[in-house]
Amino acid sequence: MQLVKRSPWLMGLGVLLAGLVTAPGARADVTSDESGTLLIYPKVVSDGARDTLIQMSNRTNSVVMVHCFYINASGSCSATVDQSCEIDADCPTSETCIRQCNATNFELVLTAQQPVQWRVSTGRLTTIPSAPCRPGQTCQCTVDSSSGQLVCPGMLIGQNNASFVPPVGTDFVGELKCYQINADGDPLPGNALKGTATIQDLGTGQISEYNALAVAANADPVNGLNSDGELRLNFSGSGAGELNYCPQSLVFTANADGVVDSFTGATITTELTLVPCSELLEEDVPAPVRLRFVGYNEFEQSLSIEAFSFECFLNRGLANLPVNNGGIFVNGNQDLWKIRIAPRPVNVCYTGSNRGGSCSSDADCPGALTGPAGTPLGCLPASGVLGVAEEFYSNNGLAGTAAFNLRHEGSRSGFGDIITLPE
Amino acid sequence: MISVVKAATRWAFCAAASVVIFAGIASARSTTNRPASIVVWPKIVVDTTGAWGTPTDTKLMLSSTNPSGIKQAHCFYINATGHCSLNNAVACRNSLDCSLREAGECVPSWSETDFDVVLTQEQPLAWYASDGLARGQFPLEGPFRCNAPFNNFQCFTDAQCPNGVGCNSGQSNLGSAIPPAPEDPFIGALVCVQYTGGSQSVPDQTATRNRLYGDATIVRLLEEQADPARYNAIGLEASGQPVQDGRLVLAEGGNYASCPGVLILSHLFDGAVDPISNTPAVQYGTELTLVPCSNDFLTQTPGRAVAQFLVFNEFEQRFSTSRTVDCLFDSVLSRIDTRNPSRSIFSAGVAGSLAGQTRIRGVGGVPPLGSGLLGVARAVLGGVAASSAAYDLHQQGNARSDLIILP
Repeated sequence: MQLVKRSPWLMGLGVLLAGLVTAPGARADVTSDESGTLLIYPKVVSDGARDTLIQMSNRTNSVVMVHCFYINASGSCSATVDQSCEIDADCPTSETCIRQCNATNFELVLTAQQPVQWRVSTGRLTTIPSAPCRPGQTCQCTVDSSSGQLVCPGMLIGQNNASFVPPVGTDFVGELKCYQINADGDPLPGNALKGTATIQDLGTGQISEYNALAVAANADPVNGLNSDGELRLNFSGSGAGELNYCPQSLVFTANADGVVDSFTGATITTELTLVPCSELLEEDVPAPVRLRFVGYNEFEQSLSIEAFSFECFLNRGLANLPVNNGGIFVNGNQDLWKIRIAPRPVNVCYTGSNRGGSCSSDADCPGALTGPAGTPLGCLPASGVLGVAEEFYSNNGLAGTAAFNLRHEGSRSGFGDIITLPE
Repeated sequence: MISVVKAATRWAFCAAASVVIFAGIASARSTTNRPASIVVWPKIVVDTTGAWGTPTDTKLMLSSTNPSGIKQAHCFYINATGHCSLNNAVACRNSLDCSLREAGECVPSWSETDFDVVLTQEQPLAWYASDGLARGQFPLEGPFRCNAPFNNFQCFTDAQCPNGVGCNSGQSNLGSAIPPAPEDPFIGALVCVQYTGGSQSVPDQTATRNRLYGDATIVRLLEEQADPARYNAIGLEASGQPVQDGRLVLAEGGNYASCPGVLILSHLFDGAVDPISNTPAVQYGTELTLVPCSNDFLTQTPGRAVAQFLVFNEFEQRFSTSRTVDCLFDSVLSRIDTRNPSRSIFSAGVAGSLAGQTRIRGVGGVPPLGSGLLGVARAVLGGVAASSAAYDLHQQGNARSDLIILP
């Protein structure tokens, strides 16, 4: 057997160059204008009325491999199963809202600087490559007659014999998360991924577009992202840690729900979408979120929602925060709201028989599971959140739409957040 | 054993060197995610009568995240509206606006109008660019004025104000005046710099710097519905280094964060059939707006740079072109490199695939101003009267150094 000698100088140089190539070049934040290793599309809709176009690209000159999972977050009440819900308050008294929160996985390969796109409802078949468009010809995808999926001009390479981006059908609302991997399928801190999502109304053709959220990874080979089956969002920009911390709070400015726009006469409403930074995919258990909302209107008046809870995914109009038709950030309370959303500083049982309950130690969470790397998934800080918002300008029964990214303030600290990966 | 130690030492040295270099790279640059001290809206369009097509206006938002005390923003409207050579009364964005009216060529122009906005703690403000906000229209007119809508009533107690709106004896928007866009139609940009406020107001480098953020919604009034397109204004964070002689240095070690070295635009190529409807008549187009990071407001000299475009399709093929960005550049992608869009490298037929990624780097620049660029994109689906969506560009690396010179 031949022994391969490794030069420590060359190895160190490799680390150096890898760092140069992969360094995100910014503070240790979650961003929507930089590339990262973990990419999050918080709002993906394919419900028969709207569909979503995903664009993803590789910003480096190297080939990158990507593992993705759709998280279907449609929810129904625990007993009245025909009733869809976002939170427990949407269900009849004494019932809870049960989110599916299940993941569908697939993998892709992106060549140097390659952009790809796919329609979420149909997915896209692998094409290595299909014929390119020609000048003067219509440039469009075709529908594969056997699968109903799109075949598009361009090169889309499936990974590990996966043949396509899977279709999600027309009963899907949820998120898409993707992370960069190496040839073994383990997370790789390449910080090469960026993306956008365009949500389109199938009836009117109205579109709204937002940038996917990118979480940069620590490329330090000793203290950085590893392959233990857990993605930890616990990096502050120096020292040990895997991926950048989620923000301490989110902030955005919205027109008060129901206000009438002076230029168009349209009634403006806003839908807020939030997803947890923590995700227990291996355990197939939604992460508990506990939030505080504080709004300030243009008169410096403040209103707040002190203890708001959800699991897995939240997609809700301001008029329905905190409860249906009981919104506080609405027209009657002035025209403009700057809303700050922060995870409450409380500990919650992530798994076990007391899942979702408050706790002060793991002993309060009997039966709690452990993550793939042995991290106890018992009493942990309530999950951080990320999100996006979408405005609707409605008149004559038609709605114009505009999505936008939220602002981030500060960074979480301590434990941070955790994503457990399925084996 | 010794060799193992030496190897470990060398490895540690290299790892340490890499950390040092990481630290060097990890300096701040512009952001669309965090509050900052300079806020740039690269694209503002006002065309309330539809002279350029669909009636359009832009709703601007400016918000303070300061938890206590006022913050002042000193703002500059940059008017990049051109006028046709044969009829100066006809405003234009490009030669197409003039040729449609047989008014010759579009002669570019550049002028700035500055104003102050005082924001109270945590306050959001919004206005349409066509209207601005005049005295009497601000939410907290004070001091010693009743709150809206009774701003014209002087007061010293709440009881003196009608309908219980209250008397404002605390923080107020006093000192604010936002003029309407200088012409209609108008295309331009807005830059606001956070100041300390008070009688000795200077660019804010105090502990409560970086407390402003902005948003813009370009709203088009279609025949039957509204078409909003919203983007986050770009922020440049202050470093804490006091500004000297009104020169704001945007660079590592300067007063503010660097502009990006490369802007990255994700887009569908112009003419690509919408993959969702998959109907040949429904095609994508993308408008790109770029503005220089640098501006000399003292001598009224706009920043200038050459934008180099590297375009990648889904086949990993690369094209390139370049254009001068003088004050403000606004164009459909497929008109960047040619007047015949079907032959453009940004057209789907030429590029060969639907999706594209374009890297944009600013070079050149006129000293002492730099060559950094900022921008925003707007995807348009289905032609002129159809729907649109604005979104921020991605960024990578830092531009060398940019400069804003205040009047």
